[in-house]
Amino acid sequence: MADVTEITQESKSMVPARNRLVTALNAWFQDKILHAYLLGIFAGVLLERTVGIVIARLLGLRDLPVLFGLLNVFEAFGDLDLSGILEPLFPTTNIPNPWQQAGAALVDVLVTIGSDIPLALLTTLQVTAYNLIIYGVPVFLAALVLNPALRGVVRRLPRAFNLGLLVALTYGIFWAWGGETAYRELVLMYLGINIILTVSLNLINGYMGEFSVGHAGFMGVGAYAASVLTMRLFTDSPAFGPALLPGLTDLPFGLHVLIGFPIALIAGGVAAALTGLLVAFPSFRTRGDYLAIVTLAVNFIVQAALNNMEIVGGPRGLRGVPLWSNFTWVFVVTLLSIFAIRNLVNSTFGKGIVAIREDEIASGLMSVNTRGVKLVAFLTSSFLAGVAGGLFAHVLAYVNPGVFGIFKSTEALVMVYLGGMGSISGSIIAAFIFTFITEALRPLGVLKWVLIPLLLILLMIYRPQGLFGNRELHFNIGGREEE
Amino acid sequence: MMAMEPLLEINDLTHYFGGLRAVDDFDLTLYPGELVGLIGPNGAGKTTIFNLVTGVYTPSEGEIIFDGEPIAGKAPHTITGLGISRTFQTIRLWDEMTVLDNMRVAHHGQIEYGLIDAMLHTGRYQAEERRIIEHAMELLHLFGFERYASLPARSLPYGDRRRLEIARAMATRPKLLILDEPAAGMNPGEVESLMEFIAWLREKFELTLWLIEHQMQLVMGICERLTVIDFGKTIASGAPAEIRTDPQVLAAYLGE
Amino acid sequence: MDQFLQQFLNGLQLGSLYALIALGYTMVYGVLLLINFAHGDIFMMGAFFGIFFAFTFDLPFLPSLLLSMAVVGVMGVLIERIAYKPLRHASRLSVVITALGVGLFLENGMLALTGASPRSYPQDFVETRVFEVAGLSVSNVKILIVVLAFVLMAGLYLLVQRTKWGMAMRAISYDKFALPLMGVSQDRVISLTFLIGAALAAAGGILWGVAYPVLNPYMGLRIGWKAFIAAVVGGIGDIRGAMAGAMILGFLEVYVAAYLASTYRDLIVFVLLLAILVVRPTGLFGVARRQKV
Repeated sequence: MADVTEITQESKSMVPARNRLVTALNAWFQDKILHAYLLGIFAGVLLERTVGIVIARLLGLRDLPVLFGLLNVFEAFGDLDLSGILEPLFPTTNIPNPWQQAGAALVDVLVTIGSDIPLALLTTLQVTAYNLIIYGVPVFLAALVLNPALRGVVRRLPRAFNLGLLVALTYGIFWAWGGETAYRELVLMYLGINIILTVSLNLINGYMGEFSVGHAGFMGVGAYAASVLTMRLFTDSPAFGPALLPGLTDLPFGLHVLIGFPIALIAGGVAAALTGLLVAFPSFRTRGDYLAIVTLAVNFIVQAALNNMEIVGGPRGLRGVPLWSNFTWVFVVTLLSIFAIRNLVNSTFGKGIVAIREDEIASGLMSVNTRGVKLVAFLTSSFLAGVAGGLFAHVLAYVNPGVFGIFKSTEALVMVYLGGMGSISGSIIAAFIFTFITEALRPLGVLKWVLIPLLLILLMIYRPQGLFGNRELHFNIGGREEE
Repeated sequence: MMAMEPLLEINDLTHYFGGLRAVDDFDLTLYPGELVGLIGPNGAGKTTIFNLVTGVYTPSEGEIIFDGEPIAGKAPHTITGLGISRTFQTIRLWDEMTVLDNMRVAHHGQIEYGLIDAMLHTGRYQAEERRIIEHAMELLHLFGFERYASLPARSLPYGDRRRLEIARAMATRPKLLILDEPAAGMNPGEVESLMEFIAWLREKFELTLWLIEHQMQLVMGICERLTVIDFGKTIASGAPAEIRTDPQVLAAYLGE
Repeated sequence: MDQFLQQFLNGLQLGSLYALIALGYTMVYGVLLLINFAHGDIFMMGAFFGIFFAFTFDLPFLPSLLLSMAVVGVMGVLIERIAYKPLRHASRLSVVITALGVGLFLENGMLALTGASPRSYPQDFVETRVFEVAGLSVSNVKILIVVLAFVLMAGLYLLVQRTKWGMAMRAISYDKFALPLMGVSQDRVISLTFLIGAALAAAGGILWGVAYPVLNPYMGLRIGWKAFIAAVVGGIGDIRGAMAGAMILGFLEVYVAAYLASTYRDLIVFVLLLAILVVRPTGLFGVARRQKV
């Protein structure tokens, strides 16, 4: 009896307890205070803003590297077009000598790649050197010099103060970095939106252990609801007529945005959360694969419903959403979302979510109101996805139903599993990596979507728990605990 | 028996699985402070009775009254909140969670803060969480698990996991504790210490206990009263000494 | 009434096509408890290999169909060997994610290598002839599709019910440790399942291309998801369920488009499917596995 129990227990624990990556990173980050690293990065960004272009030119680059040079490297392959290779063999009409044509195309492609590689290698060298000079050296020096200098001070400051300091520093870094070009700011806004999507999906797929494959549906509901609200209230649009509150737009300092945008985002979140009920209620009775289908169906339903709503433009989409998002909005909302989810999963209430994943029946019998907890988890998750959608719509000024389909849902899934289930720091880092890689691969066109799934497959085979499965990074933020 | 109000009263409890009558007209009355056993051959329906009482299944027929309140068909967490807690035949800890978190989650029914409190770490949240963690640590200390608080539950050895499951059940502050084969997989020496442990538990928390067990050493050693069931039907009940010699019970166990 | 019957034939055709795809989902699920999200793209590969054999080798319909089924069947086996097998002991979710990745890889890989122009089979691939029967117009294409689909499904049913391999397929999801006792290797059963599932999807792909002649690398995405939902509505893991679910989906789509509005088709169909799942969470033929407490 004892043996059998032990064997089944053993095979049940699939998530490896140790994670060498996390352990190593944590040891490294514990060693020095986070302030030193962040100040180093900040110095790097300031260096780039002042003398970056000089150094870039000295290294033979024409301009500042884009996305730390990642984009420059892949741009070398921008002229690559593989579509000739198999087109003759899968033709639209009868053609002579298909094999010869295909062979010739293959040779062409190989030649193109061959001639692109030297440029790519050179660019790699150049941007690596640039990154080392601009970011590597300042971070290294700061960690070395500032750590001992600041350590004592930081330790005596209250913890909450330190936390505020670090958040301000992080904001400063992003603000200075993103201020360089409009494109950088756009990427940072995508990053924030992706972080919210990933962290909120992780609540369901990671912490609760369900498999939601339709997260983009909630995002879509939020995007449309928030857009309709801001357009109706504050803008004259062909779709909804003159603004209902035109007077407010005359307020000084863009006060109408300050009031209107949070309301719109919350409205988007609430609309998305209501849609989330479509998943939450079935989740009381079913789970696993069947619930996955419910989420998928809800995603399809949202898309189909939006396609059929003429008032919001149907398949053509909704134009003229006010461009209210900017980096600061996204930063604040992202930060709030991260804190809300982090606090939730660390609370006794939130740990009930994980308990349901581990053993739902035992949870009910140990006084966890499983339905209530599931409801809260689904509502929270879809609410945040809706808020992310609201931000998204006000970044692009345009939404259409096609955006919020399976591809977007898959992107969110990829980020969650890249970062690791049940890890918030993992989700954030994964959103970073994914956002930058997808942007950097843009020059490759459709090949981007060949490489991303390939990376995903390799990740699953060689590191199925993701980067930080069920573990968190811990930074040394100094400070004393306040009572 | 006594002039005391019964803690648990089960009348005509019946349950079907498909056409199978898994529990058939089961009756039982438990008084506060008692230690009562439920025995019977494998598949007799013992665990099903526990599952009916704790709300895992809704009874087909019959009533269950706990502390004066009918509970048949109520949700498990509601019943646990009223004061019934249990352990399982095969250990059902939340394996990937730490020992402390296992204890904390069992306080779920006592949480008074709301979602927003949790997300914003309000004063109410902090006071409440501190109280929960203090109670959890106090129990861990009592059960000797203090040192393991931050280890994942799965890393404990088998016997400790059994006791941790009991500690977790105690975190819900039960009046009645139901143990489903607590001695499963233990050797006679371990059963001996388990018996002492159960006696201590009962004393310390002023508990009423109801347990299923196959180990006759334990059943005969500590239970004050026994109910024997076979094929869902009660075939005997009374003091251990009477049960030992009951011909029907012997027949059921020896398969005559 | 005539329109009703006419649409009935259309529904039968669409349902048969969905069934051929849904079967692959359900078989793989029955054996590995894996939602093979790449299956829709296997279906697309089938349709494309039909193009390959029809144009590049100038082959007529039947040889093209059989060769495509063979090639894509082997492809299904290879995908399992390369991408899924290394994960057999990992968590089920990582395999599902991998399947999602394989699907994206296939469709975008095809798009990258063949370009975006829509394709169709040669004029003489299956010459359409229309018969008038009792006031209904019946095309040979419809007959071909429905008959072929049912022949293939009947063959599958016999294989699963009557042969040792079929029994092994049914047994494996319950107890994979019992397989060696039956003298059957687990790997072979799994390979066989992928072979058959992919071959059926390939047949579905070519027949789909004959019926609705616009082929593109993303065709498997939407159709595949729908067939999958059909399999779930029927009760995934159950072959009869897959057929029933696919037929329900086919008829629903056709009648909604005919009597309501074609733009509402997806909306209404998915809402109804969601409703079925809410009422019967394990599908029409599915049996909930009771958890022991």
